[in-house]
Amino acid sequence: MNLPSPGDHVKSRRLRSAVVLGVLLLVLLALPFVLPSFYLFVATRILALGLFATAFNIVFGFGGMPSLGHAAFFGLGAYVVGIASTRSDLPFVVIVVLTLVAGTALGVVFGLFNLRAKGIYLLLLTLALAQAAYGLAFQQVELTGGDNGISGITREGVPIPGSASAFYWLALAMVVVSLSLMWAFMRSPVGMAITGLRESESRLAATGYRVGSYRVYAFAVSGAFSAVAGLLDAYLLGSASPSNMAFLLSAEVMVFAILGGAAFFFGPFLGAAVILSLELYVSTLTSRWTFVLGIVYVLTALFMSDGILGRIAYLRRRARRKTAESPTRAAAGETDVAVPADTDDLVEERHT
Amino acid sequence: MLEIDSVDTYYGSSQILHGTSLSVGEGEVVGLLGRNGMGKSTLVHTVAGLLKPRRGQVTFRGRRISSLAAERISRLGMSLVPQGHRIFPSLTVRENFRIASRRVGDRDWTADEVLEYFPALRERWSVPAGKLSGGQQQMLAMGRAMVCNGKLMLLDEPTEGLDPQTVGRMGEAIDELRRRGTSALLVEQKVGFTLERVDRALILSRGQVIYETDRPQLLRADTQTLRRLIGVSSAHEADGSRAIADENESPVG
Repeated sequence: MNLPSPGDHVKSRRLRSAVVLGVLLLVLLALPFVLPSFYLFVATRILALGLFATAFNIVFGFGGMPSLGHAAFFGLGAYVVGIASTRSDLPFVVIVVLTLVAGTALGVVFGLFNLRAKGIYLLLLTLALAQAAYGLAFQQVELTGGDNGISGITREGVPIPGSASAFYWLALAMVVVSLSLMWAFMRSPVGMAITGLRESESRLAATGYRVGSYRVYAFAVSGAFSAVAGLLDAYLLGSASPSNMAFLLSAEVMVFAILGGAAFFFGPFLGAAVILSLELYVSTLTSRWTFVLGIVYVLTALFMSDGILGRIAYLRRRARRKTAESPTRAAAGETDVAVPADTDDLVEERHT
Repeated sequence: MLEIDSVDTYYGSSQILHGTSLSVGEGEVVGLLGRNGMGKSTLVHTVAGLLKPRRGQVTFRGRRISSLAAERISRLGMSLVPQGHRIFPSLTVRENFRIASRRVGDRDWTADEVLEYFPALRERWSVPAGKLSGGQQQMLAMGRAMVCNGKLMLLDEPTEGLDPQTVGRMGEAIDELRRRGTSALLVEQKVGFTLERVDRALILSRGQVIYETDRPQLLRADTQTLRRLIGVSSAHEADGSRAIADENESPVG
């Protein structure tokens, strides 16, 4: 159906967003020229876990379905790489496709098991499913290496193998493509319906949408890209182990999303970047860095439940209100009526 | 088009509809009036499939729908404007339209046509719906149902919380729906607004249809009946006063 196109202010906002993202991308592309190898390793890890957090947020922030089992997808991606690259000569592209297929398939399973579960029951069910996957990985020693996992994953098959810089650029390219696809997906009618799931399942049903199907779609897409994140991590670390599927990782990714701002597309990525950077920084100051991180989590939950981007959006709203209420503007008769008050560039809020 | 036959609906152990029966014909607009807490919204939700009746039958376009899921009923051609301007707040106005639009024929509504009735929405086209005023949200709820292009529209108090000018536009939109041959069940508190534009009017009390007329204009002038059955002394009085909020908990959360 033909819909009127967005207004000029939206077009100019989009243009500004494109410019900001373009500059950010140039900076990210230049990082290998300025960062020492260790920091480049951390940057690559941020890319992988940022992608994981963004994929997780399709289910969590957009779909309103809290999951404590997403490590299963991440670990699955890592194991696909581990098994395929150590036991076969499959080309890199085929391994990526296999990872996507495996992640989607597991996502469908998660979705089907969670057709009706909500809230705490959804958390428990996803946790149980991930623990089952963890147990399977742990016990299938011949295939997965059991507790030891699979080591010796090389990057021989990847495009431009060898240097850390090349792999960083490859990871960056894959992350940019994945984020673009997820962005487009969330703006498609299916993505909108997934957002509708969070807001009111009955309203969505009354509009003609089969609610259960959209739950499955959300898990399938989220699972596919979470698995790609696991693939990148396995290539980076050179190994895949049960820890890739552990509960701790599922909890961590939820913290990434909450800290960055689960209501925002880029929030979880930012959360992953902040926490991994903080981990790195604090661990150089004290051996009790996990304690410090714990304090950060508690403070976030207490004072920044909307996350970093939520706080920025709030401060911008407040600044705009103050400007709008200033006597000089009021006297001049200026208002913000025609322009939405809360439209930011990278902090486009999808829900409150 | 729609047949409701001896329907009993409950909220938990409380029976709200007591053997309710009514029908809406092809291209007919039927008004459903009644005081608060009499079961009007419950009836709408029962028809839309959001509540399941314990007894009785609902038939839509010749098909029994009492046991069908809400999404299947919607796809059979039923659109709902829920009470209390319920939209998808984090989606923009544009996205709210897009998620609902289902255009199949030449006579179907396009978003542009809908926006002619509700120009305020065009100004707020790219704004998250949750940031609209209550009245604008109600217009959006109506607009969404219009672009859904159902054969039957269930309108649950579409003028609630609207200023007189917007009520007028809402009325024009309903009149146009009627001209296009869409059937409608209009549940309202505004008696004058309803009786002005329906083919038939019903009054619901304690979950039962207690009054029915195919000459709504006459009822408009019948102050005695209005006072006795709805508790207002004139259609004008009913339109001017804001009714107490419906006591029923709406399942369209």
